Amino acid sequence: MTTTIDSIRALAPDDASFKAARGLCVLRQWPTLGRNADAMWGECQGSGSKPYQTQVDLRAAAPSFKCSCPSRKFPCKHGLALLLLGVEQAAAFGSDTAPPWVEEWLSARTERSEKKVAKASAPAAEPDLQARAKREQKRHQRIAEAAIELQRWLVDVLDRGLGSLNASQRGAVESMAARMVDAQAPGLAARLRDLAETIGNGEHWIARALAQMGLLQLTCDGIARRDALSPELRAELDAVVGWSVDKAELLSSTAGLIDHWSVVGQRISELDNRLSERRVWLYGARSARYVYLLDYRFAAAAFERQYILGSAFVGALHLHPGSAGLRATLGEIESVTAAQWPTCSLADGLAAVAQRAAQSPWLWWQPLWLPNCVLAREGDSWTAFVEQRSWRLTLSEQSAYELLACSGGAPVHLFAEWRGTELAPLCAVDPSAGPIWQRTAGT
Amino acid sequence: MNGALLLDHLDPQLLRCASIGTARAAAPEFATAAEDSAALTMLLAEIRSSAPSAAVAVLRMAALCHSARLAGHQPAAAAPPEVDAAPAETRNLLEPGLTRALIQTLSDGHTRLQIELLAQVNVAQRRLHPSLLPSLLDAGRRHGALREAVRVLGGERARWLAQWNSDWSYATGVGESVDPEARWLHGNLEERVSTLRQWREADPDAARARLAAVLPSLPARERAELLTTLALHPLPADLELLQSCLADRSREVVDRALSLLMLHPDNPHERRASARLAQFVSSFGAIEPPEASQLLPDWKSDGIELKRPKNEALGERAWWLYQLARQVPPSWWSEHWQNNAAQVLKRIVQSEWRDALLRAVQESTQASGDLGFVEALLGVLPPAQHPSLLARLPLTARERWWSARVVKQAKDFAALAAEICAACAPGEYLGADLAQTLVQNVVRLLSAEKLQYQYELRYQLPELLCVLPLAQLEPIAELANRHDPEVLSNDWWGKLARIIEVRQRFAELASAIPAMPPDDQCRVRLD
Repeated sequence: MTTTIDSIRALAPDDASFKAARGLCVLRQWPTLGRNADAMWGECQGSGSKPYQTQVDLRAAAPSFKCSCPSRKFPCKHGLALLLLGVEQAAAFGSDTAPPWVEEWLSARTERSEKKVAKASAPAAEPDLQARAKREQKRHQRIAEAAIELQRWLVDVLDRGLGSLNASQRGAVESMAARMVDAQAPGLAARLRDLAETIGNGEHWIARALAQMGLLQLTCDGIARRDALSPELRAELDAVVGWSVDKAELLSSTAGLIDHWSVVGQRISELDNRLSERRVWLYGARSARYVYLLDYRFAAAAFERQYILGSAFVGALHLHPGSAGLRATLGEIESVTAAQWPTCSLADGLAAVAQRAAQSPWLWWQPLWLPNCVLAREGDSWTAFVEQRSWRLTLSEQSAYELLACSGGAPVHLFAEWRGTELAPLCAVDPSAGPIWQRTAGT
Repeated sequence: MNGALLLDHLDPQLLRCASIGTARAAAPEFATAAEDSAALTMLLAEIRSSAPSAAVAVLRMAALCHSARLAGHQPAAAAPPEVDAAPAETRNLLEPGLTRALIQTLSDGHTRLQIELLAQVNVAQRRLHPSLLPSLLDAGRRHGALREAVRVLGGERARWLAQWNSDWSYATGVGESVDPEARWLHGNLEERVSTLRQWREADPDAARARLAAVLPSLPARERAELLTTLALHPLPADLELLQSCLADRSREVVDRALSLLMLHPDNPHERRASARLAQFVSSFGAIEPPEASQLLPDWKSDGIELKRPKNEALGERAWWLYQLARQVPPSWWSEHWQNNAAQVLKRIVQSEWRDALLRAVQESTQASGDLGFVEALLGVLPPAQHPSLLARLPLTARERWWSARVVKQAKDFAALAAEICAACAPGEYLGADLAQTLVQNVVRLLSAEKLQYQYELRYQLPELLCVLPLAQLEPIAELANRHDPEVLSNDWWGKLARIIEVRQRFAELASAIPAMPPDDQCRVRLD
């Protein structure tokens, strides 16, 4: 397992925990530190007479934590600090024989995991297909009614004019988003929240808001004509609306797309109610295609798996149904290997964007590789120059300066998400030295 | 009209409709179509005719335009700016663990600690990862004392980056690699001051001639800054230039020249100033400030402002007296009144011109560094004004002053700690004896109950730790590590432990230069 500071930061439930963990990286506070192939453990001295017993199980792809401290956060700062010490001060870890309290925990975990496997391999109960179809029909009905309501609302807003909107009226859009959640259409809710963010925000916001509302109208139109759509478009529409796919069913019913997959970027956005969404973009070197994995975490939890920019694996991804073919679920990983970065030209990238736009009118963010960009600041905006053409970047001021500093004015490859008017860079790659910058969460 | 042109034509119309509202504006109409945009035009026409309302038509048109634009997107043609890429670096990167400790210190540490760590990184001949340069340049923007270190550690990349943000202009310039002549001609202010200093070390006359040649053409701030180079090995030949600066139109330049003249004992200006002041201060102690009728026009050429500034707290006569008095060294008073420093100050304090004269003597003492008067002023001035005076004393003298004032009460100890921190320059550390006494007191106070109510002490101690020599800090580190970091708010105990540990780690870096780190800073294998 390769652990880096970035991957530990990604495990932290919030920035405060990571910062607190940094503060605990003081060797004097750890009278006992040990590790072996299966686990790391340590005793962290607090104010009480008894130190906290902290342990990390390293046997799975993602580490598991246990600590005797009373913190409600998970993993707690002690667990994170233990991992940080493992990376930064590996020499300080002495014994490789786990003490009884670690052995006990590891055995209990092994036992639980064996039970889980046994349960999973037991024959599953026959699903009640009739009841399921009924549930789905009811949900479709609810979504169709919500789409009618949304369409009415869109018309109402447009009749009054977008010029009369301002940032203080975002609440009304948020209310409509909440209505979509009630109707089990979380995808529509997410797009409405996106629209709320756009209102009154930055230059040309009316043009951006109009495009977003246009796509919502198109989605409502699609829902109204759902039965007349092709199966691919129907699947794509369901994905846009927010129907989730049963991953186990997807894995068992579809053939995996085996390729050499490289992590080329990720974007973490905070959604409603402390829920964070992560899109991890992968590039398949053999198929020359991009896919993304989507996962969520709630508040203090960590994402289930860490993806390090520039890492790669040979393995299978299972594509979700739909015409765009961008979303996938991770299948079996055969081996871990070195990254292979895209080699396509800008023209190829734009042609792929056009192709996807033609296949799926509802697509929002699309992947785009911009080779040999030179970055610059022009007035108050940030620009990437590629092949004598300019692209305006959507990036926070601090991140943009970091990207500029990492590029040093030399040409770099950018991997970005593109949606017609906004280009959000996710990573920068030095053609000779590999990845040099990546977008941080929430920027 | 081709597709792209059609979209360009359509967009403003759609935006107009959307902005003012479809209740007041109809959806746009398209009459004709060229062959290459026929499909798009037909679709738009169909949307218009089939939509149940203008609003739906506009929304559908907007969606179509968005998809069409996305499918046929061509970014605007533009040439990249003609800016050279950053030159290659010669130093190795700072190790990842230390880098992160430095980031944290730059974001929430004391300036004194930041300066210490940056100095250690410099000794170890390291540079920072480029992604940290915006934070480093921002730290330099906030604290002038960090700027020199920022320039050195940021290397060529930081200098290159600084050109993109006017807030970082202090870090631009021509860099260390160019020859002194080019730095003098094209460098920023700091680079010009440093080049002039080098020249002054090597050839003071030539350096002075260069300074005199450029002074008339510079803005006031730059004139004042470049003049400071004359404090380096003061020479009688500097007097003519300094005298001419007394007639400068900028108050800042005049003040700087007056301070510099104090470094030249018994110079013609001082003799004139002494004679002038003696007219208004008798050797018996009688003080009679000048009247308006006694002012002479030629005083102006000696840097005396005849018109009292509007915001000046002193009255007109006191203002003139203050100006006359600050031009003589403090020793003038001792000689004139045949008193020692303490006696001079006692008479001044008792006089009705106390405010003007104390201010004048304080300023002349600061400029001349007269130790007798520094010590005497410490007994007269309020504690808030002590640090700047103490800073003029040698460290041993300051330590004597503080040793006699180590107190038992937490509140008074916090005040003493504040004074020590304010009077010690960054990079200056207390000697072992005083440090040991202070550490013993710190441990005693920290071990006492109700520490959570000692706000001033808790506020001051982290900085005090940065003035104490590292070797003396072990007892405090042990104490800090025995406490749960969460017992006090803001992880106060953890902060103490971190300051000590980070100082240790950077001291080790500077004393034993480790192997070159990989440029890929974050990858470390656990197994």
